Amino acid sequence: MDRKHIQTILTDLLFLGVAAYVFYETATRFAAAGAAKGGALTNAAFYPRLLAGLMLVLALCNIAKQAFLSYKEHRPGSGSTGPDDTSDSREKPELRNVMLGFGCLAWFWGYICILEFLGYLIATPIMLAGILAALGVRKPWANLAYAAGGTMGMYLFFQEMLDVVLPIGLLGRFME
Amino acid sequence: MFEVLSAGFESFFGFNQILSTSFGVFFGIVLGVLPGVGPLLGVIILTPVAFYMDPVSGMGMLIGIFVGGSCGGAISAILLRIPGTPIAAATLLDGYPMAQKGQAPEAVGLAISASSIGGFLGGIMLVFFSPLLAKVAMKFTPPELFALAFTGLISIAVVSGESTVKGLLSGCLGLLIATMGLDPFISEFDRFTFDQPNLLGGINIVSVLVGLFAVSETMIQIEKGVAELDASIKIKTFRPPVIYSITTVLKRWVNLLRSSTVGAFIGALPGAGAVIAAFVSYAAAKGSAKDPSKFGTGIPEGVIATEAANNACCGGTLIPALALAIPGDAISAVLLSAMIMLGAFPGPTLFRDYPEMAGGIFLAYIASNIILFILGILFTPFFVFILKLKKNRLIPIVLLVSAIGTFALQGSVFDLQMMMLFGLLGYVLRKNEFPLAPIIIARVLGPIVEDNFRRSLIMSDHGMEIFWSRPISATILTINILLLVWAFTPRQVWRHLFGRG
Repeated sequence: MDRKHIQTILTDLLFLGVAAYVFYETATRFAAAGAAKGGALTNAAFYPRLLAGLMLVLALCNIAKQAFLSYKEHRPGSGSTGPDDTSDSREKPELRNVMLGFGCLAWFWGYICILEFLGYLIATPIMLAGILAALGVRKPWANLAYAAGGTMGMYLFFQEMLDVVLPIGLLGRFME
Repeated sequence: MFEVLSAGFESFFGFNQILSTSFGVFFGIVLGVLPGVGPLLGVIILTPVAFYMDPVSGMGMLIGIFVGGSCGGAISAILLRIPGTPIAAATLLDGYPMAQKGQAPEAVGLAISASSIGGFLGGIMLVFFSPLLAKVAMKFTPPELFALAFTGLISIAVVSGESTVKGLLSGCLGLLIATMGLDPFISEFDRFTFDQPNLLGGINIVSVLVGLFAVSETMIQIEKGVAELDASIKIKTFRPPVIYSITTVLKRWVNLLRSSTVGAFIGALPGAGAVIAAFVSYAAAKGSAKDPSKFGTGIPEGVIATEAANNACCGGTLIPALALAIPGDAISAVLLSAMIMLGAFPGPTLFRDYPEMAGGIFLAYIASNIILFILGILFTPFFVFILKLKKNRLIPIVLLVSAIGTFALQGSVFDLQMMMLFGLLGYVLRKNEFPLAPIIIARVLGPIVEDNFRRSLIMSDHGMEIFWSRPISATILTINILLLVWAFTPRQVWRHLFGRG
């Protein structure tokens, strides 16, 4: 079985996991609260169970479909010589770019985690400068100008124009 | 219809409303021009901003992005042979050959004029048909409303992407996400909240939207490589001829009218969308031309047909969205959720209960198309310049606007964490060709589906036969079943049954 089918099956397993969680939750917590039986008015579990059941069937169908397609592509006489010969329509990005994408996402997630602690005006230029540098804006002045300009532009738009209260963090507490 | 329009006059014709609509159109064109961005991302990242405006201004801005973004893609399609959005894919068939013949300014002018007039005609159909449809739907009871909402889900899942099963799986996931939070019938009983007080009201739809589309899109764009596109762009700036553009479009009024009607009709069908509308009207224009062989060689008729259709399609999409609360695509699903956040409930009662909002939306849509023409022609050199913007400067700003916009709604970092989780989920699903639009549409329709499903069961004393004993719901459900049979039956079987062709 080639990578394309394995990846799709793994995603189907994610859907199966969601369906299993719905059945588990309705059988335990819902049942204990008396919300898993009776008519539509009192049964909070019926509709989610219906959806989870449908999801289960569909995910199993898709797994069977992937297994069948993989068998069809690799059976003797199909003309296929291996995984590279399959008609994989998906683009295969460079590993470096994939890692860069995940790196940027992790950096951005870190920003979200420290946003309330450091505050918008300290955390945002650091986040922007980091992502800009990772994406190739390495000249220090250009990088800093974009990071500071982006931070201030968004600050003026959200805080001053729309009256959104952005996290004040350390700087704000120090100023107070 | 006229009462709604006159209520809309009062709510729309103000400085703030017109300014925000104009900003939306301008921003929409910019996003449409940039390859790989598009109006959906624009509507999503500015939905939280709309929440800070008065309802008509907010909706005006979002509708402006929808209209502007649907046209902006044509500029990059004509100049670079890269459609800024999939909607503009058909435009390059004749637009790019026109540019190669040295008629790039004329082609861009035609695209803007045809989009504007086509969109305007789509707006007239929206104003005329949506109150009529709502009037019919006012007689619907829970079984019919359930069947109708179910149709919206089925059709979007069936037509989105290559695999119906994947579309339906995405739809089921969206429906389950919609069940999170307090149960609508049992007071103080929460479902799937993981003991998180933040989830009692369900997952914030903006976190889901921004995560699934904006965050995953930035990941995909980084993977594609951020520096590759910039080197190929060498464009001279120019200004399109105004008089030539309008007169050329108006002279081909049959093509314009036919394409706008086709666009609005296809837009009103759930799941069909502007891409299909543009290709169908291109085929119709080619089929009815005296010399079809000229199509594809760079003639104005091709550009007019596709651009009039894809902008009229926006108006068509809004007909079932406003009248029945059935979003035909992801953008209208986002617009519906924005409307709900702004305090108006789409559906049959919209025109009775919120005439200022409904009328304001009508006028915002029509005004957007007029503004599109003015801004499109005036700022063409700027939009051409935008094509030179490097992706590595844009990606961090998109991430920042997404985060601050999501945070702004409730001042909650928890919403940002959810946004990131959905970003990862969106990335995984996109990499495995699971469509994302059904998740959003199901998230919007989910409460309507569950509410009407359970109400129907209560009405019938817990029997499913109520859905089949009522003629309208039975007809709608039969159509759904036929749609599913059509989607699941292999193409070879149809060919075997009905012969080739």
